[in-house]
Amino acid sequence: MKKKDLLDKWLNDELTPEEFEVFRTLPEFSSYQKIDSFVKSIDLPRPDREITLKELKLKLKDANRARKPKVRSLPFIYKVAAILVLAIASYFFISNLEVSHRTDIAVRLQFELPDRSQVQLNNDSRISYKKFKWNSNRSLALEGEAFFEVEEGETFSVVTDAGIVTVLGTKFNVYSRGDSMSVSCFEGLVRLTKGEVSIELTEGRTAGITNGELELGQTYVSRPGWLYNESAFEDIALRYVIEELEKQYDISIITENIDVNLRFSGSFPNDDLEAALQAVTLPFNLNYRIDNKNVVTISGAYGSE
Amino acid sequence: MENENDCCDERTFDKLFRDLSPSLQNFIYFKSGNRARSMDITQEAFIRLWENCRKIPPLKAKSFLYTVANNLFLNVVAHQKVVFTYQNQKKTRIDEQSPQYMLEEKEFGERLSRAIEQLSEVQRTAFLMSRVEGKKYKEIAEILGISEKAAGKRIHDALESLRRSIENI
Repeated sequence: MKKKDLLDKWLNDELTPEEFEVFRTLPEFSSYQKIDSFVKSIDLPRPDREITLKELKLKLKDANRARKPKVRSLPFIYKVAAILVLAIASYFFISNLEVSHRTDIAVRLQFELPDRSQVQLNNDSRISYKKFKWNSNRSLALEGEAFFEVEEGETFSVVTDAGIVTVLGTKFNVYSRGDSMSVSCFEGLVRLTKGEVSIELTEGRTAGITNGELELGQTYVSRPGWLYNESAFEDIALRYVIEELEKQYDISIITENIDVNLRFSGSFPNDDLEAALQAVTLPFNLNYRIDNKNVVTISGAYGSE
Repeated sequence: MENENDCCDERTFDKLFRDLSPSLQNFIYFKSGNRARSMDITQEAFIRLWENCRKIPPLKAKSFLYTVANNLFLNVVAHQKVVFTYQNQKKTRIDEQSPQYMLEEKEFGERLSRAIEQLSEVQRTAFLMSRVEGKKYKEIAEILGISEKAAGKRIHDALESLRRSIENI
C-alpha cells in the first residue's frame, strides 16, 4: 500500500491494526503524531448550545424578523379592500386637515387664503379653515377680528360664535369676541346671518350684534382703523373699547366710577398709549392714570353725577 | 419521511441549531481564528435560515448554513489576522520535565501555531475539520462543495506543510 493511501486511511480513521503497524514505521510518523496531538489542543469555542439558542430566539423576536417568513400573500380582493380603506381614510384625513392662524395680544398677521383672498388678522385672534377643496367651499371660522379682501368666486363665509357672514367678493371687516360681533362692509355686498335673521350690508354699512341684539350703523372710512394702527369704533359700548385698549397695549385697565355701557364712536391709535387713553377718556370727561407699565386706572370725573 | 416539515417548524429549527451550530461555529473559527466573530456569524447564519425557512427543506439546511456562513466570513473577517488559542493540556506533566525539554516544547508550539496560522485558509479549514473535529473526507467534501479527492489533497498539503515547519529546525 502506498504511503499516500495509508495517510488517507489514517486521516479518516480507517487503518486496520496491521496497516497501522506499517504506518508507524514511516519516518514522518512521529511528526504526524506530534502535529495531530498539538492541533487537537486548539481551544474550540464551546458555547452552551441551549443558551445560544435562547439568545438566537431573542434576536429573532427583537428584530421582528421571526414574523417575516410567515407573511402570506392575501387574496386579491383583500388587497383591493385594503387599498380602498386606506384611500378613504386618507381622503377623510386630508379633507379634515385644518389650517389655522393665530395672533397673540399686540401682534397682527397678514396672510393669503388658497384663492388669494387677503386676510389681515388683528391681535388676539384666530382663524381656521380647511385647505382641501377650498375653492368650492370657502368657509372659515373666526374668533377675534379680521379684515378680508375676498377674491370673486363661490360664497365666502366667516363663521363666528355670534353669527355667520357671507359674501361673494368684497372687502369687509369682522369683529367677534365672545357673543358680541360687528361687521363693516367696505366694498361689495355682505350678508350677516344670526339664526333665522339675515341682513345685507352694502358699502359703508356696518352691523353689530351685542347681547343678541342686532344694530345697524354707518362707517365713513374705506378701511378699518386698526389696519392703520388705529382702533376705530362706531357707536360701541365703552367696555368693548376698553377691552380693545387692553388687547392692543397688553395692559389691564381698572375702571372706577364709570358707566361702561356709554356708547363710543371714534378711534384710538395703537402705538401711543397716552394718546389712545386721551382719545377714549376725553369725550366722556373721564380721568386716567397710568399706575405702572401694565396697569391703567380710568375713573369718572370727580364729583360728576 | 419525517421531513415533511420545513425549517419554519420551531422544533425542526431547534434541532438543526443543536445539531449543526457547534460545527458551523468551528468552521468559521478554523477559517478566521476569531472566536467572537465565529459566534456572531453562526447566529447570523441561523437567522438567515429562519428568514428563508419556507424555501429550504431541512435536508438542504446544512449546506445553506455553511454557504451563508462562508459568505459572511468573506464579507466580515477574511484578511484579518488569524489567531488560535490552545488548551494547556500538558500542564500536569510540566513539573516532571527538564527546563530544556520545556523550552523545546514551547518553541515547538510557537513554531507550529505560527505555521497553522500561515496555512492558506482553505487548507487550514479542511485540515482542522479533519484533525480537530474528526470529520471524514466525505463530509468535509460535502461542506466545502468539493470532491473527496480535493478535500484529501488539501488536508495532505496542510499536514506536509506543518511537518516541514517543525522538522526544519
